[in-house]
Amino acid sequence: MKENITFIVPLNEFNEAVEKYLERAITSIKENCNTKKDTVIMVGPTDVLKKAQVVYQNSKCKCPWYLLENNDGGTDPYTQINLAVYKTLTPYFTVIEYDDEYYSYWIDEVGKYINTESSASVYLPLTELINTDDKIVSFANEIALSSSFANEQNLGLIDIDSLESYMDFSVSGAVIKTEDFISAGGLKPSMGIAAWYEFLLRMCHNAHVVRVVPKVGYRHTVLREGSYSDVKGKELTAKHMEWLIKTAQQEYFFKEDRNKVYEGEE
Amino acid sequence: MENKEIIEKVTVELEKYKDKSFKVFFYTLDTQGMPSGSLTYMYETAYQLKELGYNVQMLHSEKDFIGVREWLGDKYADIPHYNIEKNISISPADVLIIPEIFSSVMYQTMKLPCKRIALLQNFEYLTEMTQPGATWMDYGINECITTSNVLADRIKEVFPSVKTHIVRPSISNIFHKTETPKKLIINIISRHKTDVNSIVKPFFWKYPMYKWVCFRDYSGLPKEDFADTLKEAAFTLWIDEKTDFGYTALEAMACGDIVIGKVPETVPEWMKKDGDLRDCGVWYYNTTDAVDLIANLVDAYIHNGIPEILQKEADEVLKNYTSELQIEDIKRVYVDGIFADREKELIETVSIAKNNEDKKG
Repeated sequence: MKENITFIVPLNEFNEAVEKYLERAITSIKENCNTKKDTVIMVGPTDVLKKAQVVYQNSKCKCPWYLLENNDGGTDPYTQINLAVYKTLTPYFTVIEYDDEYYSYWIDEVGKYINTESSASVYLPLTELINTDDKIVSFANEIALSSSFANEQNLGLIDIDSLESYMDFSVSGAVIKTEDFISAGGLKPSMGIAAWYEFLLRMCHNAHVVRVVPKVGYRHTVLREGSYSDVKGKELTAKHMEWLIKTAQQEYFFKEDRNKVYEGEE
Repeated sequence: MENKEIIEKVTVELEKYKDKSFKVFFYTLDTQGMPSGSLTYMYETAYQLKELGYNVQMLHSEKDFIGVREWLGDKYADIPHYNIEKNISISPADVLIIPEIFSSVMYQTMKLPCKRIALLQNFEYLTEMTQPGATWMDYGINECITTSNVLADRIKEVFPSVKTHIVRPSISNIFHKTETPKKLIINIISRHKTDVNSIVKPFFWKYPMYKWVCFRDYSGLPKEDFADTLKEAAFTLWIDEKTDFGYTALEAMACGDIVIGKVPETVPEWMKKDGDLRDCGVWYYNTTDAVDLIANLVDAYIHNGIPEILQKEADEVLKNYTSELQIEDIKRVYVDGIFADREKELIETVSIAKNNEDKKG
């Protein structure tokens, strides 16, 4: 890809499982990065980063990297991502969860789109959802490629109408234009696991183009015990989830995080 | 006719070869606005001859002739068109090209003084439209222009005395690759809806994880719109068992599509290399195989695993069907061949008439 990109790796804990997955994630960054232009930012608490640094150095990934320490509360991934993006100097960035991986051609494929049209602000991959046995469970984001979701002229494009009827897009691994992310206001940590959903709504509302590239670019681990989404998913009731979606659909009109709070079941 | 009369009349005809004013007629079908590869080929030949300065005219016998303007464009539709049933003047210097589908016209024009030549693009049309027992030679046709060695060999098997000429078709340069990344769309080009259903429905039943894959059934579009649909899509599923050439498959390749195709009953020349099917597309014989083939290709495509050889071989095939090569063939076959031969025949006629006159004297 002609444009430079930053790979952001949010971390909030380090153990044997994290180490194993992180090695895989960094290897996939290594296969995608251009060592002369790209950057890696690992963001998280200091003690976690110290251990992650060792994994990175052992990977022999030659991409310039640095650690962004975040010890002041807000260890949710959304705060971490915001922090990292505001430090990003490249025109594009991508976020990889430590238990996920890119396909080796992903950044090059996005580059083909950027080099010919460069109008989109978000390029989502077709994502393989894999379980902890590395078996493919299903795809994510494929719905946007279907003619029942978008008319043929807009195949692959996501808009407000389609987002209001379908919420389940996976943004990990997406390539995002840094200035558009920042000008739209970044992620809203108060939205919790609906934060990326609300972000997509806000991007579309601000007339930014969000596109799904018809290439499997990312493997996202699901159903992993102890993962952020697993923990949060277990904490949320159905009503709370419903409230989050509804709130996202109301809050996208606002750039700032208005810190809406769920007041519990009646 | 008296020798002097022959000399006088034929000399006048010969003058038309000096200023290219003799007429070159192409007898055409009216497809009522439906695009046709065979018609495109004929009109392209007619247009190129017109550009070379020849007096080209299209003949038809339709009361309400619709023509090709909507799907082929103005420059072809603007070639003069005439109804053969109105008073058309046809003289010995003229040349009339008659497609194989018009065996009735071959019969009806037997007494015309011009040179008549068959144009063969589809062997099935020949067998369908020619009366049992009748041959081209019965109609006074002893020369034929065709599009490939495969067809030339087929016609020689049944009409061995017919002289054959090959003018290769060209793929228009409106069919070309673009820089824009393709959409995961599978265009379907087929004559029959049943072909489409027999593949698409089982595909979705057998591979529900691909229920989001977009199939698009397009037919009857104007040429430029058709080119746009090809340029956009990653795949073209081509089903045309009866074709003798396969224009659509080549047009799709020219646009960078991966072509998935049912092998036609007569395998086009370009589809073979060293006796085997060429890797310029992905071919199948049985419809039941198509479903799995498509699934494998979709999987390969989304994982960036489409073999490079497909595009490479497709590009090699397309090098044989450029407009430059077609124009070269047109010059060789029509200008330096048919027209030159016709001129020689007329000169010979004058020479014989003069000899006869001298002997009389």
